[in-house]
This record gives sequence, C-alpha cells and structure tokens, in this order.
Amino acid sequence: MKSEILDHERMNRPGQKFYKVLAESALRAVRLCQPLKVPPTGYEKWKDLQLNFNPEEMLKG
Amino acid sequence: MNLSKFFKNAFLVMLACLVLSACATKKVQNQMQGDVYTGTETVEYLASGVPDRVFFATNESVLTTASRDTLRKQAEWLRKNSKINVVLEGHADERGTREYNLALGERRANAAKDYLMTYGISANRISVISYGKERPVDSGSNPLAWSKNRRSVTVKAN
Amino acid sequence: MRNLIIIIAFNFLFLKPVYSLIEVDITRGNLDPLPIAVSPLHVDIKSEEFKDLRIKDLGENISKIIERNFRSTGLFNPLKKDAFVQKPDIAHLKPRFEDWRLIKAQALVTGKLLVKDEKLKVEFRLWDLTAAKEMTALAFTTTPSNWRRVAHIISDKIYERLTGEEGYFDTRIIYVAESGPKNQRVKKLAIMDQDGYNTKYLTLGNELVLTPRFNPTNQMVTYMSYFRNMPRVYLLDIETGTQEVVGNFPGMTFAPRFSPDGKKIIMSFAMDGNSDIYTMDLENRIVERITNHPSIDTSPSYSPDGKFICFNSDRSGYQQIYIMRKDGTKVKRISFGKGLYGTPVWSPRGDLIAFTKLHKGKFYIGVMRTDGTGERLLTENYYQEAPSWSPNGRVLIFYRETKTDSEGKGFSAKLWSIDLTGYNERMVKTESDASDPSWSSLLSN
Repeated sequence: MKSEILDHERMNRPGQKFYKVLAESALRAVRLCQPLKVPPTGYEKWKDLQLNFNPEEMLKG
Repeated sequence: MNLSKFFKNAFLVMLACLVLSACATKKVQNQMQGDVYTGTETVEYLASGVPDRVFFATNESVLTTASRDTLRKQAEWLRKNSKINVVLEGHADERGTREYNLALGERRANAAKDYLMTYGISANRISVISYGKERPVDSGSNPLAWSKNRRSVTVKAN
Repeated sequence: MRNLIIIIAFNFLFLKPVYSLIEVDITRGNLDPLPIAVSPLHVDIKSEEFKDLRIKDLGENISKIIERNFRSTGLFNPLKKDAFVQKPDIAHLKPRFEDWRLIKAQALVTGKLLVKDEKLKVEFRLWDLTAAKEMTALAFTTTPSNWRRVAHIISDKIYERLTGEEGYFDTRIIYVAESGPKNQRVKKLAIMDQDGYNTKYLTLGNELVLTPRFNPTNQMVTYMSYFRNMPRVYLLDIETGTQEVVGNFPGMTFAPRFSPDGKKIIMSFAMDGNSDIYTMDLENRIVERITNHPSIDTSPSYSPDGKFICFNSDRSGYQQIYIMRKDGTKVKRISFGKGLYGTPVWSPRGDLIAFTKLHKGKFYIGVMRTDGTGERLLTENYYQEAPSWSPNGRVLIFYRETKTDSEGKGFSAKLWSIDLTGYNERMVKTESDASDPSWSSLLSN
C-alpha cells in the first residue's frame, strides 16, 4: 500500500512546522499498520475518511 | 460469666482511650483560640511579665485582644527603658507561597509596630524585618506548630 | 404483498447511493513513547588527545546524554544498545533500515566526531526508519570541553525535528541549595545543567538567599538576600561572581524578575505593612512604581512581549492572580476558582500562566489561559510551589517539601518537573536538597 502526503507545498512552507510533524507522524502510523485489513466491499464509502484529531480530553486537569 | 467480664474490661479500656484522646485534644485546644496560638511554649520574656511575641491567625495580620495586651506591656517596658531600641521580626507559617509570606511577615511586624507607636513609642526606636516562612520556631507539620510560627517577635537591638 | 416487496427492492437497485463523507473523531489514544535508537557516535581514528578527556569514550558518552534527555521527556523510548544492528560508522553512512526496524525502532540517530587542532567537529543524522530516509543532518564545531553541550544541542535539534517544538536540553537551572535543620536552613545559590550535571555554587551560605532568576542572556541572576540582615534584591554576574544590591530602597525588596528585554528588574518593595510592585532600569537606575494599593502586591512576571505583567495580590481579601499593562494600568483579576492562588508565571509562549494553588490544605501546580479560563490543575501534593517554565513553554519545574515527623525530623525539599499535559511527573536530581528553581533560556541562542 502506497502512502504519501499530498499537500507538498504546505509540507515545506515555513511556519508550518507542526503540520509537517503531524503529517509525518500520521504517515509513520499508517506505514506501521501495514498490511491494513480493509473490508472487501464498500470501498466507495471509506476511501475518503475525515479524521478529526482532538486530544483535549487526554489533557490532565 | 467470662463473657460479661470481657465486655466489662473492654468497656473500661474504651472509656480510658476516649478520656485520654479527649485530654490530648483539650491540650491542643487550650493552646489555640480559633487559629491563634495562645500558649506560652515558645514565648520568651523581655523582662519579667513582658512576653516578647504576639501571634496571628492564618493569612491575618490583625491583632487579637491578647496581642494588644502583650504589646501594651512591651510599650510600658520601652517607656521605662528609653535607651533601648527594638527590631520587630515578622514571620509566617509554611502553608503558603514563599514570596507572599515575606510580605505577610512584614505586614504582621508593622501591625505590632503601629500599635506600639499608639502608646507613644517613637518610630525611630522600632525597625521591622520579615523572615516570611524561613525561620519557623517549631518544625512540626501540624496546625499547632504552624500557629506558633505565625508571629511577630520583639528583639532588643542594642 | 409480494408485489410490494419487489417494487421496493427494485427502487433500491436504481437509487444512486449518496455517500456523505465519513468523519471519525479521534479524542483518545495510547500514549506510547516513540521508540528511537541512539547509536554511539563514531570516533574518527584520526582524533588527537585533548587535556584529560577520554576521547575514545566520547562518542558513547554523548549518545548516553542524548538518550537520557529523550527518556526524561516521556515522549521518546531510547532502545537498549545491545540490540543494535550496525556499527556506528557504517550506520552513519547507510543504515540497513529493515534491520533497524526489526528491533522496533522508528527513528535512528547516528553520528561521528573528530578531535583535531584543539577542536571538536561533530556531525549527526536523524533517520526515519519507516519512511527509510534521512530526516535531518547537522554538523558543527566547538571546543572539546563543550562536549556535554554538544549532546544537548543534538538532542534539541532532534526534538525539534520530531515534535515541531524547540527543545530545552541546552539549558541550565538556577536554584537554592538547602541543608540543615528546618528551623535554621542554610541556603546557597546553585546552578546546574538541566540534566543535573556541572553543579556550581554561587554563594557561600552565610546568609539566606531566595528566589533566583536568570536574565534573558543567562549571564546575570537576580535574587533576594539577607546579607547584613537587610533583605534586598541583588544582581549577580555569573562569570565574575560580583554582586550588587539593586536600587537604594529604604525597606525590604523581594520577588525579583527581569523584563524580557533584560533592561529592567521588576520586584516588590515592602514598607509600613504594604508591598507594591516597582521596576528599576539597570542602565539609568530610574525606579518606577507600578502598583499603588494598600494590599500586598507581589510575584510579578512579564508576558514574553513585555506588554503585560501578571502578579499576585490580596486586594480582594485573599491571594489571587491579576494581570495589568506594563505601566500598571488596566488591572484585571483573572483567578476565580476556590482557594488561594500564588506565584503566577507567564509562559514563554505567551499563551498560559502557571501558578500555585492552595485549597483545603492541599497544594496544586496548575495553568490557566491569560484571561483566566481553562484552569487545569496538573499535580497535587502536601506542599509544592513556584513553577518555572522550560524555554519552550512545555515543561514546568517546581519544588516540593515533605512533612516532618512528630520529632520534627524527616524534612526534605526537592525539585520536580511535569509536562504541560499533566503527564511525566518526575523528580529532578540535585546534589543536595533544593527549592526555588528557575529555568534558563536556550544557551545556544
């Protein structure tokens, strides 16, 4: 399975350090999950997923 | 027969324990009124009958009736010994942040100084220094120890 | 009935499926430190001797410091060296990525060094093992006796590349070293590298010293001393050791800090039972009064842009946190929770204010936004106070004291640190008991 960051311009834009780090981290996670067990049907449904990361719940206090 | 004797003994032991613990609490209560230390354990004397210190409630710099009484005696002694100058050392307990405690100690010492001045003691005979929580007189970690540390002490400067 | 079912089924066959975008909210996860392999730096065989440095062990010693730095963050998990699969010089040229991945490493640090002509040349590389490519590489030269700082600088660069935030390893911590019985503590100013090494004492312990803070260039320290029984704010030059009293105040000055441009010292001045905040310009010695209120105003701390000051005041009856403009106008209270608030300190990022809170007999270290919202209490203890920020605004260092037993014994004071997220609470090792820690900015700036 091939994976890459699509927004090349943003990856290299100055001031977007956190975007680059987050994207690399996500890529690492995806690569570590290989091979992915994907459902055999319904590709149309899950081929585009929007993942909303919000770690606020994990902050202590 | 044995069982009733056992219960009787147990009851007596329990009673003794209750009395003893009540005594201990009473002892502490006798040394504090509310939050303010009223005992004499750490008190020294500038002269016969003149205690060298006054005590405060947590976070307070207000003088109690007992404190005013002590300071009145100090003022009288200072009037009789007009050559003596004093330093008032203000202190706080350890249950507070360090910098604020420095300010609180200064406020307490000044409360005592102001009161001495109302009895005619001149300001240039009294200087003030705060030690915040740096010099406790009792190293304990309990309310009684802390109450002994919340104090303003009058010390002879010459 | 059967006809109805066929009609419905038929309709479904011809319905064009409209799929809305599936959204997944990820709000929780496992906190697993990133497994990272730090290879000992390869020591070039052409290296010369330098004083009493063990050049042969330098590569290994530098990597050990880097590992310890990473482990202390709670974000990285440096892997054990006996599992390493390639020799340092070969790994630095071309790592066999699959082999390194076998030991479960996701990142690899390699490097080499050369000591020649009284100079230490270092080169390091950070590799992403899952992407199988180099992430960052850097080379620099310094004097060999700076080898510990080399390890800290490399740690900072890698930390920054992997987290996006500036590191905080090439820094020092100034604090008060304590000893003796609780009612007669001996206190000295001490300074050390953030990892506990290179401890130096700046005063002798003959008088009480409290609350030392660095200036922005880390060359000066301001602190409070009871020298000659006169509690005042002092300025100390770390290099020369010279000390001078700040200003000519007729009463106790305390709680000093530098302004972000290093030009002023801000502090409290107590007189006649009232403590207010003042500044003194270090160049022209002009003193400015900032607060003018019969309450206790203390613990002032500037915002990193120098425009605002947060401070501690009991003008509402009890210790609370306030902010004001740098000229003392527009005073606004920002703490409103139950309990007493003290020691406010503005984050170098400008977004948060850390503080000490006392509530129902317990002490807390917490943070809040600069408008007072979002209060989070990070840790609770019998006694702790005085947080200080790491220069990247990510870690807080503070100190704790223990209870004494019924005989007044068993007292100790130690430095502790905690991550802004509330995780990774750990003790910071010091040679003696310690209190009042303050973190420097990055030395390499």
